[in-house]
Amino acid sequence: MYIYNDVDQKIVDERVEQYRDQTKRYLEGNLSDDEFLALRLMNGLYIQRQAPMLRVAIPYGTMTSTQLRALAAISRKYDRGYGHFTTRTNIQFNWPKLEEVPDILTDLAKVQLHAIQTSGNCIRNTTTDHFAGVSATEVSDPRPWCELIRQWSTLHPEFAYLPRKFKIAITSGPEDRAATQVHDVGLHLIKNAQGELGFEVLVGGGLGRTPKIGKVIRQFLPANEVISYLEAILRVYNLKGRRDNKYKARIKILVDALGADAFRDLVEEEWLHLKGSDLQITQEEIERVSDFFTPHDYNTEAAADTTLDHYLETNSEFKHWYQRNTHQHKVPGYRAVTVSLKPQLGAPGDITALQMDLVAELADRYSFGQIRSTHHQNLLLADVEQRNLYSVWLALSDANLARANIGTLTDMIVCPGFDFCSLANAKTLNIAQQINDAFDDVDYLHDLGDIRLNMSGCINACAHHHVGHIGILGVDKKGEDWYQITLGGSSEADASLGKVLGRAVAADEVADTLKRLLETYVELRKGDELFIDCVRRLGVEPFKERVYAVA
Amino acid sequence: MPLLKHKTLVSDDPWVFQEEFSDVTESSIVVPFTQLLQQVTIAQPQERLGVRLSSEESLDDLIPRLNQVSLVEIYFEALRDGRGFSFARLLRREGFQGEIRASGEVSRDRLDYLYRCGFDSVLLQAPIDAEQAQTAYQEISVHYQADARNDQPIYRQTL
Ligand code: HEM
Ligand code: SF4
Repeated sequence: MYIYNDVDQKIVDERVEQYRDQTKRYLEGNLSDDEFLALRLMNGLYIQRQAPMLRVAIPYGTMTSTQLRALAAISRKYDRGYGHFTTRTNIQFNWPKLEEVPDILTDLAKVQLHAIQTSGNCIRNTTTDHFAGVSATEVSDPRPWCELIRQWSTLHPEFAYLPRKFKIAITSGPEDRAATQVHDVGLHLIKNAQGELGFEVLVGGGLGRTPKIGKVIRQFLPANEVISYLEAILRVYNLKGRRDNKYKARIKILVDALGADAFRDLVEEEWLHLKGSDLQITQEEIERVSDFFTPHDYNTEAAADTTLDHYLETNSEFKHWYQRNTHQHKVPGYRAVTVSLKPQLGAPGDITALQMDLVAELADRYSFGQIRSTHHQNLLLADVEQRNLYSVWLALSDANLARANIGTLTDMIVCPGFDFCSLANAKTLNIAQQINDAFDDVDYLHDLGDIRLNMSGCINACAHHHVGHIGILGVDKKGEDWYQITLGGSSEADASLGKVLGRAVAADEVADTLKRLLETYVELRKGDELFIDCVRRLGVEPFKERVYAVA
Repeated sequence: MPLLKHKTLVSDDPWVFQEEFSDVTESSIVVPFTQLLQQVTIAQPQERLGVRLSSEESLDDLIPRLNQVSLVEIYFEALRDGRGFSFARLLRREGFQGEIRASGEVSRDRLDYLYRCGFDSVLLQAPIDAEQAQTAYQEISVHYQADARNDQPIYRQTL
């Protein structure tokens, strides 16, 4: 876990005071609405349907227990005692007061947190695989690179007024749990034939109105040139990206208009000026930052434990949870534990202050004091010894954080929708509830297996509906909420965009439609074929026939 | 309009903007880029000629003519239009030694970024007092990135 040095702390502290002054000038009437809009957005403050909304950065999804406790305290002091984790691993508060935001930022800065560049047309929080550092298949830990990029992108003087927002994700190893192919830039940490570390570079992925899968523009970039290369990409984008239409301003549109080859040529030409320059990251700096992410002091006897087997044999509820909510760890005798923020009742990604405190305590007791937030809007205790799993499960169950649904249909990614978001076309939280009510049977859910359901309240696609195995998009038809369903999307290594199933369905029919869809799957699957594989093999037709035949 | 030069409020600005190019004047003139492009020969000495380039115009087309001017005024068409920041950096990289000036939709809360990208002067639309201007440049005192003022990123700076 990266710990701030004096420089890091100073920048964040000074930024808080700068923002405090901006807020003051705005409230005194000395800063126009338009000016302040741009400034507050670059500090994560939206004005929404109900109230302002503050988005706090969780850099690459890692937190200490101290930080999580501070988030809990903030939610109590300035908000309504809860927060909301997003698909980009940040946390949002839905009820802060505009005039209190500077104080919130002061409290955040005390624990090395901030809201810098969590919205606005600038470089956003870099995200990564939530199993970074504990995955057996990763080539190298992506987190040091995320931190180096965090520093480079923070208050960058040239790239604060880009055509549109800019999001970077990094992953390493064969699985892609960070949706890198639908980011403005996706970086895959790899080794070349000589064993040197570097990145495969993708650009131009993104969802929203014009969903696109990113294109590879460089097979191998030496790792120490990542800053110079990003600088080249950003400069080309800043100069050439469209500014006449905000729906055509993302880098994906530029890459598409020029063609990936021509875009790459521009970047490479710019990079000629930058590579090998002082932007090249020094070996010393790479080592300094990497030292914060060295493996924990793991118990070498952890695998000798026999109690886990006992609990698995005697407690079927625990076993369900173990199977769905805990994951392989590179160290024998350890598991990574997902804390499910997808309860039977409640909005996906929401967490109360009490729950935050509890998770912080469990992290202190069982997982080296660290917590991660995931792209799927859950939390993760990455390093739990197997002998402690049962205690962790009991504590999580008590706090309603142990629903055994990770990776299943009800582990939905859902945006706030109409209840909180002023851009929404339709509600999402009521539909999530309808789905939860209809699919509460654990055995049935587990039988359906891995299914990624993503639901957005409008075409901005905050919940990545295009890349859900099942995607749901809220649309407005003459003032009524309707829902368009897509099938076959994926944001993983085999990324693809979902195909529309057919006409949109009414709000009260969403869960029934899903039921028919999944019955069709159960009938048509071969052996233990996964839902996504079944859809890919058969196409949407058989599903469409069944779904609309009944209606 | 207040003019800040090298972070300081100045009152004597030798430059006057002229919609149309006129050859050999005594004053220091700034003309639109389209006007400069139309001139085949230019008698106005380089020291007294400046050009205004809008962020909608092509920096690439200006570069071959940089030896004709000693001031480039980059006109920001909109608050959210950040192209000018990159223009300034590229001008410096091209070796342009003259003054780089920002005008149009620029304001106090962008002063430091402008300076770091290589702008020497800023023509502001709103009034500003000397103290405010000072503060604007001092709000953030350490920087992670290399920029036009310092080619050393944080990992090469000796603090
Ligand atoms: C409630 C206030 C919110 C507002 C007003 C909002 C607004 C937007 C807008 C306008 C876009 C489209 C930008 C573009 O494509 O150029 C967008 C994209 C996005 N938002 Fe939100 N959002 C909100 C909440 C959230 C939440 C809660 C999440 C996470 C669950 C989220 C995650 C994202 C992501 C991942 C994208 C990128 C989609 C893509 O790849 O194109 N947003 N948001
Ligand atoms: S997808 Fe639309 S409704 Fe949902 S949060 Fe984003 S902007 Fe709002």
